[in-house]
Amino acid sequence: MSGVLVYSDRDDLAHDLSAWAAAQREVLGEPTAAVLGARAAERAEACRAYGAVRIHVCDAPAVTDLLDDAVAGVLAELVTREQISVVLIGATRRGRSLAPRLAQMLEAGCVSEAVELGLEGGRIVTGRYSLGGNTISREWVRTPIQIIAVAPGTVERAVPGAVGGDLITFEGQVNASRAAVIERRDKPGLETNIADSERLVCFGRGLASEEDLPLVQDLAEALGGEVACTRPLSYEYGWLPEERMIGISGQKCSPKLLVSIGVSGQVQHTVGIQGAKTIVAINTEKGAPIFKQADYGIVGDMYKVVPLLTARLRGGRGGGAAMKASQPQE
Amino acid sequence: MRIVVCLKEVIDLAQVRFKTDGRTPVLDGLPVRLGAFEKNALEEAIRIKERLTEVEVIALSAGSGRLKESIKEALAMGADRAVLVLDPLLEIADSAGVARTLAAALERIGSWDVCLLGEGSDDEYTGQTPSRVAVLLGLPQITNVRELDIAGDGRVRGTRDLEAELEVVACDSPVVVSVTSELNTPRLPPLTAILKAGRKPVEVWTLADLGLGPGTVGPREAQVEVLSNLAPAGSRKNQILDGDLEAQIEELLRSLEREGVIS
Repeated sequence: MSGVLVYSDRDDLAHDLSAWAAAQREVLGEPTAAVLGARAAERAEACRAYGAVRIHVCDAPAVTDLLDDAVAGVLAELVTREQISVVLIGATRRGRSLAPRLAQMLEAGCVSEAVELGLEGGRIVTGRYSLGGNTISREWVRTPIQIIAVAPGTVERAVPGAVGGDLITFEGQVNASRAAVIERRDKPGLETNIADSERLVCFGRGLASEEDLPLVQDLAEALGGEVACTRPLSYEYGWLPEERMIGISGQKCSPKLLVSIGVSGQVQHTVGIQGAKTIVAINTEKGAPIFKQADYGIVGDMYKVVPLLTARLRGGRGGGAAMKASQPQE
Repeated sequence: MRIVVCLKEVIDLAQVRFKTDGRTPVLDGLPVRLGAFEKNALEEAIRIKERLTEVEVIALSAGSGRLKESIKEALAMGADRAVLVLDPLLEIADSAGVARTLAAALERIGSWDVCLLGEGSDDEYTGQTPSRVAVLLGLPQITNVRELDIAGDGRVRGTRDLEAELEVVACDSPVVVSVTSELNTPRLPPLTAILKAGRKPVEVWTLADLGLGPGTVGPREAQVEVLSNLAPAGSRKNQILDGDLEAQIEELLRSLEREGVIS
């Protein structure tokens, strides 16, 4: 193999993937990176601490908006010119549609959201969710050039090392996108990052009414955590903003503790909680699939269980205040 | 204006069962239906047709012979006609093979303005097809679109749903657009429409009609080789607590403290 090229529109993912590629250098060849878009030079400088031996920098106006066709054009030229055999792309939403665009330009095979990345017998083997999240498809890309988009959190978080790596200004042709960004707006209600929370309380359709939200919010507060929900509660009912929705089309979380309340446990949801260290499930239905995904299960009515649990965490025993003095809050 | 909606047929994923090992999926005999994201794409095309005049909506799909039945749902929802590419090779084709087939069919359909696809499919959710089709046809793409506006003159505006922001992208047609499920709520066709769907035109093509075959679409041409496809090995404790509720909660908190997940 003749080398790896790393790219992401999210710098921290590019750093993580650079560090991973650098650690596999003996097998995969030289790790290189590309930094494109606004403030590329400054961001490339920060990238130097993560193991790439060359960092290609392009801040041409044509790539400022990071539209797929313009970015893929620059990356395709780098792959060809530098004889790259593996391209690792951060699987953000942009990355997920960029990766197959680049792959098709290079007639390459592509894995568009790897959640496992490893080396077996000198080749890269990836895992991705398949059959609606029921299974993990382990596969390898057979084409001479391999394009792999890697989900956030798949490889270890990189720590900066010795600063090295040459910055090289991209001198090739930059073709502007045939589309144009005419407006950007921040998503409303973006207030938390569920994916990074250490403790989560996630509720499903078992919560009967929006007015009952304080029940789960109180538990989350007692745990020092955040509230999350399943898809219908966000998209259909709008009880919580979508960045608090966990599942295959929402957030994938990896908290230390996830308390799942009134969630049936459909696979489209449980894909998003597989990274949790410990899962507690509370559900009235003994046969609910969520119990198969849980470490600890309480079969019971959430309207009885949750207030007791919250009170006990707040220092009371069974709702009383006797323990309050001996169990200070965080 | 002509809008082509690419639809994928997927198995009913809620019915996937596993062999006694608990990990090997059993898919034989499961019912198939049109994918959910694809219905969002189709719904949007039909709404555009209702808003503008002179819009033709074509449902395009590539896959197995069962599509002849499942495509009726798309026709009942409001597609004017359907084009199906049917070939056993398509059942085992990878994203690149499917994209090649759809792109060839889109070329054979001739002129159109917007090609709509789902951002991913219910089953594999790889989301490669829109980008690959766009490259094969030499077209720009607007992906992850949750609001779509097509003017009568063919100017397309799509609002892309990115992680932290919404990005409005404009582009002249023809363009390939992939849509998210937030775009709309697909209609349930009334019974009369379902009955009439069978009378709408369905054109059936083979891979050979498109100049494709075993040398271009199929297992030997697959770019990605699957080594295994199994349910993850279970590693949860699956401990259901018993006793009265207060005892259960005490035991739960002791366990969570022991594991160091609460303080």
